[in-house]
Amino acid sequence: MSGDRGPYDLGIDVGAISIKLLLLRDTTPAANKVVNTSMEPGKLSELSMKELLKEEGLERKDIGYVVATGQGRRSLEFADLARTDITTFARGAHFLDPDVDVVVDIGGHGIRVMRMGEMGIISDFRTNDKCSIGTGCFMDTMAHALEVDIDDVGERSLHSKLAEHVNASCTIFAESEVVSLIAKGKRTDDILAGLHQMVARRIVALVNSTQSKGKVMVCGGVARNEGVVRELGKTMNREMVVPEMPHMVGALGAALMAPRPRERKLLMKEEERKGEIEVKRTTFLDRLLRWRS
Amino acid sequence: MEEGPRYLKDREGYFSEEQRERTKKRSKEMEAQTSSVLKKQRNRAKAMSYFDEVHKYGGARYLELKEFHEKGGKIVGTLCVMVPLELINAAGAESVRMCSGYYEPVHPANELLGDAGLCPMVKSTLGSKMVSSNPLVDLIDLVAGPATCDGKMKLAEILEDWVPVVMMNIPRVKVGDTSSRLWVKELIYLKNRLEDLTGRRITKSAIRKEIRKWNEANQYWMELLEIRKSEKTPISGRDAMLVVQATQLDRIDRWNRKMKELLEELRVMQKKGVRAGEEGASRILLAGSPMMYPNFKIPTIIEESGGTIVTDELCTGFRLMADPVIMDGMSKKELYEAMAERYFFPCTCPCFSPNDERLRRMKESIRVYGIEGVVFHTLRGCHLNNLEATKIELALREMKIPMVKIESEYDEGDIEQVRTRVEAFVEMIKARREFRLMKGGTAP
Repeated sequence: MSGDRGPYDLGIDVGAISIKLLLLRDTTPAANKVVNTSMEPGKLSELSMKELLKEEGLERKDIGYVVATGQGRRSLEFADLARTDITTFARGAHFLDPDVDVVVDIGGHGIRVMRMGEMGIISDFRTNDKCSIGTGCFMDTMAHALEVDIDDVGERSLHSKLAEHVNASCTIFAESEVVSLIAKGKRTDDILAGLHQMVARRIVALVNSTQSKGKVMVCGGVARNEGVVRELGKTMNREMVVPEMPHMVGALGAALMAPRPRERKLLMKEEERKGEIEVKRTTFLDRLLRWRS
Repeated sequence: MEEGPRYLKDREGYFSEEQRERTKKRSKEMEAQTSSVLKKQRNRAKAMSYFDEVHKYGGARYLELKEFHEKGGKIVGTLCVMVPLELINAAGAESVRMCSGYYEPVHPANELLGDAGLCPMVKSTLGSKMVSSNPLVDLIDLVAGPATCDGKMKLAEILEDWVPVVMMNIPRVKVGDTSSRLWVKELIYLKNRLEDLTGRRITKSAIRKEIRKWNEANQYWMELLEIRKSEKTPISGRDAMLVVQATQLDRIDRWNRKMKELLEELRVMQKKGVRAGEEGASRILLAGSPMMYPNFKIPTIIEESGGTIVTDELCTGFRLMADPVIMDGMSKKELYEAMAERYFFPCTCPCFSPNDERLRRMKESIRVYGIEGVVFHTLRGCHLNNLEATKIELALREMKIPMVKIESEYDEGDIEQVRTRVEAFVEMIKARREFRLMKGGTAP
């Protein structure tokens, strides 16, 4: 334990749509929280941090380091460190499964594909350019056009028997394509399934551009959409894993970036746990769903 | 131009006075903003203030050129790094690089051409001329435009509606004799047009005199590059770009003098261990599409995110002064051949094929400058750089040098997106460095 720093590390992922907080004791997740982003992410994060601490019966001094990530990482004045989401998602993914070669983060406004090198250090990454297709905000727009609650989108698409083909390569055009499909009387479930197929194709294309054939981990908020994950599993043509709480991977990575003494950081997770006592063990992050195509 | 304007038939009153004034005002503001960011850099050499002034919108250099022009002097605009400035100076004319880095003039060009994914630098250059947003551009009597990429070639053609243009035929297949023979002929064509413009014969001795001046400039640039190789480089990548781009606007003998002062100051800084950029900054090579001042968006982001650009391979940076003219003989033929060699073969513009020299030079730079990562910038619509990026990335991957490709436009809308990517790239480089050190390796 370093100096008089508290034993917990807090990772805060200030995303475009939501803020994710994850409390880590050493390398064990202790608690987490998700709130929707407001106009003042800095203040909201601080408030959420206090709430989280209260829920857990902890105090501010119990937190050793606060590490911020995500698009709003620089708006957090109380953070000790700020790291980009690209770095933290890779770090978190490597922690969950060191065998992963490519990490895909499908977030609210951006898609990032990271290729892993040695020790969870990225060797290469790509992002979507200005285009928002396939992101959380794109799915929101489509759900709105189809008048479906965003939480039901994944579920409903699974009921589709024959997906409608959606071609568009732009959010605006996709929306008008969806509207015209509705006008033709197509079933909502089929349109959703078609959208998921299109999103999956786009993401797989980005993954393929890394020229890697290794295991893929899909994370970020959109990975909670079962429909997208299922289509990705069909199209990916390689081993794919999805963590139980895909949206938390960035906050997890951020918390892991806390500048604890070097030797600690490099220990593997299993060795780490030896001699660990009295830590409230939660397994909410450890489960991985596996897909194989 | 007998048949009159082809792209804008009725020029009078096409652009409103309000639009002209707005474009001017925003251009001026952009330059002032960029300049103030540059001036705020940590540990900046004092001698840099001269180069700031050369680039200043409506600054001392503009006033000097204006006076020169009013007295009957001729000013030649250049559209490419391949135009031999020695020849222009030997004709008694002054040269001004026309390629524009201002964002606002893109809009008037969009009105004429439509926003068809064209290169923003081409659009900005055209827009500046169309609405006279840059007073310097209005002084230009003749434009020398080599037909390199599609954008530049058509830009030169469109500009003919406004100002006389010497279109130079560049042999884009860079092999053997035929290509260089064609280029020598094009230089002689340019010489004839310059003589027509100034009414002065371009003599051998005048060319030789100019070549000596420009070769001196090349030597000073090499000295600056040498200084940048050191672990604690005392000059930022942006400042180095500003300095070398000043050759395209300034009188070269004066530039040489000022450069000598700068080099002296930098050497003193180097001895004291004063560095530009932050401690432990990652050493970046900047490559890709041109970046004219004040379009310093990408380099500014890099140097604000914990990177230092220690060298580049841009035609608005390293390549401007990277090679001397080697005079093999005294005959007129040999002089033109020497100039053709200098301006044609070492040019590693992606409009050429084969263009393996580019990769060779990049690999060499990576080695001698201790480069840890390459930022490959492409302007939207710069197809040639976009196409070459893949080849370069794969070659760099073999050398274990990471590369990030960033596409950008002439606006500030994508600054934060680009910043995230560059920051992640720098974080990645630093993590790799740490890992290497931990394994007992050494930093480059």
